Amino acid sequence: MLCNKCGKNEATHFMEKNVNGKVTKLALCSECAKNSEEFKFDPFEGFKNFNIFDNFFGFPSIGSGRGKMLETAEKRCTLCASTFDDIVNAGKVGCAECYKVFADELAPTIKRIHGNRRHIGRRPLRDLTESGEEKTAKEDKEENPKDRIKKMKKELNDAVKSENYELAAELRDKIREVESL
Amino acid sequence: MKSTNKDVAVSSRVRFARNIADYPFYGKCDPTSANEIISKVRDALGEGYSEMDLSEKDELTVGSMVEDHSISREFANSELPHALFTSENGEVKIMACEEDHIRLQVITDGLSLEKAYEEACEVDDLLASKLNIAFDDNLGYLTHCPTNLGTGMRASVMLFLPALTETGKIRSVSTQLSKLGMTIRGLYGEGSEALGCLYQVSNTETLGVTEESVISNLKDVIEKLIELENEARKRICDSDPDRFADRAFRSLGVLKYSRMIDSSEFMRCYADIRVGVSLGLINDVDLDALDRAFIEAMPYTLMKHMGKKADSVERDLARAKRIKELI
Repeated sequence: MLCNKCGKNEATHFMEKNVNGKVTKLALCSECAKNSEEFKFDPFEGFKNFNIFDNFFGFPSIGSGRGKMLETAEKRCTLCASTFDDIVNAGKVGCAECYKVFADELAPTIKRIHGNRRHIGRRPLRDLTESGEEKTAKEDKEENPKDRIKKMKKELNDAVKSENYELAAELRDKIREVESL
Repeated sequence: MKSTNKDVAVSSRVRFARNIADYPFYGKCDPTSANEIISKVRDALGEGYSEMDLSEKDELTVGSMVEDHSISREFANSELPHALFTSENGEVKIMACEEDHIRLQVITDGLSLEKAYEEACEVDDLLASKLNIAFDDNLGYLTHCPTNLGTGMRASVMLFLPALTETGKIRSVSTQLSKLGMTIRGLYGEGSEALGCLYQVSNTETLGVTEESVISNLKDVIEKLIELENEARKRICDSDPDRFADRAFRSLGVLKYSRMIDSSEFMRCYADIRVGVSLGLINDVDLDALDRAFIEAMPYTLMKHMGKKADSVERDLARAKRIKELI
């Protein structure tokens, strides 16, 4: 996620403000956060309360700068009731749902650990196709549905351009099938 | 035994981290949920697995299970209900309510990563067919610690590398492995010395890689390391033919005649003798028996055999006696 202010650097400081039910969100890079009135962030405060996960999650832990930043935050996971502070403090994620609820907040950490990568390995068996065969086709392993649809739409355009309407119809049906999933 | 290169590769291990989507992870889990998770894992596995409630077990039993790698230290120390399921042949172990809800591990003899991986997949599929496993298309298997996201798999091989240790090559191996998404660490010892010359090589990458490529790359690297170790052993033997032999027999003498021996001295002797057996210098010691003695000589396993907790002097006395019984 890019910084809301400069739009150039990766956002590393997040704030969610809830004033009488009106929620506003702010995501800034460390440089912009330093100069932001809203954060009033002491860049050295984090070091006073250093813990091993500060670097791991890219934030100072609770009781330090970040605690101040999120003192108004009320976002909680719907399954385990974790706040993002809970996750930062534990250095571990609360439950599977947290990965959805805090997707934006966790993204920089996941990027730091794994780079810009997507899963291409095994899938749980419940993802079996109707024929009972595991999704081992290359396209399933290498692309998520959005990328697949994009690629198929391009192929569809090419098929229409070359007047290969039979192929175009096949592609149209495949796109519908993936979109309906 | 030759085909698995057991004189260098001691054992292979594949571990999957899995979670059930509807339950909080360890840090947020309560005892009721933990018991439900254990019950779900039990039902999903069906017959063919023995169950051990670790919360009910005594300290010596649990400690000895950590020492033989049946369970992790974190699992042993868990404050929540936790149970271990073991397959009939003992190779497949499922820790229910470890850091992740399910830690499935398969340990096989020698270099046999593919076998361990296949067995792990079989049980993984069985569990996934019955349980709602937490999974995301982009992030893969969702795990308590984000470092395991993706495949949730750690594959590793325990290696015995006395000659690469002796020649100091281990350091350059370590640098090269990190570039390949792997890591090597001494398995025993607190400092830089890898006691017993035992190392563990494992993958570090889990996201954006397939399990098959991780297993295949790791296998290639291990085979190369085995080759390097054997070359280094040959070079030492050629240039200084009596060095390994003297050490091996000297250490054998210590084990045969000492009345007290502590863990670190035993591990050094173990390494010397293991080289001697591997090189065919010592013929009356069996490699499997020696490896078994390595585990049996560890504090908790030893105390379990003694049937009581013991101080270090008592343990050193018992260790010397126990080793003589085993090799």
